[in-house]
Amino acid sequence: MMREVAVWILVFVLALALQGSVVPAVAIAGITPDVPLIALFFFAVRMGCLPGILAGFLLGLCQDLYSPSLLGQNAFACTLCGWFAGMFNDRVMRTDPLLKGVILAAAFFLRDILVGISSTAAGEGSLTATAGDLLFRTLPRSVYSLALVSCFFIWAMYFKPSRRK
Amino acid sequence: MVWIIQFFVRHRTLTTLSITVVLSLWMMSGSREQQQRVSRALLMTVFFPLNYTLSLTSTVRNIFSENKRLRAETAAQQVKIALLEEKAAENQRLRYLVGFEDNFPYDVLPARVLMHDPSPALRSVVIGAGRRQGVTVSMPVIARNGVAGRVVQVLPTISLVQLLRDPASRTSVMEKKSRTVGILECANGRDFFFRVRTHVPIAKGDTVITSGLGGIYPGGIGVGTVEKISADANPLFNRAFVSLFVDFDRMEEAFVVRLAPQWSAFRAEVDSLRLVP
Repeated sequence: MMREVAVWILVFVLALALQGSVVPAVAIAGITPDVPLIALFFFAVRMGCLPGILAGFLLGLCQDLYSPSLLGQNAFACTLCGWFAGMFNDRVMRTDPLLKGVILAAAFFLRDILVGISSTAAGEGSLTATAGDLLFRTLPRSVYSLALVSCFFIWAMYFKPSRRK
Repeated sequence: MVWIIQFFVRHRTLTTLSITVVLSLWMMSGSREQQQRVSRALLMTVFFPLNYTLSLTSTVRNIFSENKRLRAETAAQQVKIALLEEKAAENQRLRYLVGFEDNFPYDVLPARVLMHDPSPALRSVVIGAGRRQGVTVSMPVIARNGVAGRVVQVLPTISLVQLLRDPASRTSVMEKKSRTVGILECANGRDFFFRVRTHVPIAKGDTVITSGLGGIYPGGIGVGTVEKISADANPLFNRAFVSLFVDFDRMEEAFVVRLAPQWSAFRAEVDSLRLVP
């Protein structure tokens, strides 16, 4: 259990580091995948709601600390995303990869909606802008992230040496 | 109290969610100064290990960019150094040439070698001095070490120089010690030789100079040294192979000796003989 937690902490740190260093280099028309949210999604799906909430809060707080956004904004959004993804815990229900993709896309939308609402509430945005962002930023970003995750799934399913054996 | 703890334990997910959401909202509702204070406190305590790791990442990224910048700077410096070295070498050559020009008894015109003959035999070079500088056909051309060739074609600003390497070139030379005269030839662009009588005491290392008898080159200019002596097809002669002083492959400057051919005085008479019906 401790080993698994340590591995997940490492994954989150790596995801944050990648998001700040390598990911901007693979941007397509300014759209980048959200690696920390992908990591959070898989963590919550595997571990459940409570760990998902805690991990989401800490991860969001990290993002708040290392970005010029409103402190607590990402923490709030990621907490609820972690809780949302945790409801589809593998121990409670088995979901196929396609459904997981849909849930991940929903998590992306949920996060951006919550960020938009909190920005609007803090007087730093508007709901109209949030709606535009959902269409022109969230949708492409979720598609890009899903494509990355699909590549990982295909590799894990068909090309991973342990699977082939 | 027990009831409250039991409620929290039973509904721990909901409780945790509520606490984290409330905390998030509290942080969002604070003023900018308050948010900065919280950020600093979190970075120095809970998130210090992560902060340290991320700062290491940025350090590594800086090292990569610095390495890239230093590589570019090194390349630029190397180019500069190469240019300066080239200038220094040219400066040294020119200093030598200035001294040479002062000591040489003839009127010489320094010229830069502009182009080498692309053929492997390297039979000719183009120099940057022509008719406007007073160059005429058949003027001898010398390098810093010795005879190089003669001018065969003149244009307003450039001239073509036939080198001693050209198989068609013939130069009257003399062995300095024995004063034996011969004609320097080159059949393949590499081996230079002249024929001497078998009884002439000539040895390896002897110096060969121009004889001044050919009408083009003034006498006494260095040509090379005797490299080896071998028998000729004609039993009365030996072949004295000569190693030239001038390295044609590395010739960068040349001097045109402003000396009209000695036989130019007879040219008019020769031409007049041709005109006789």
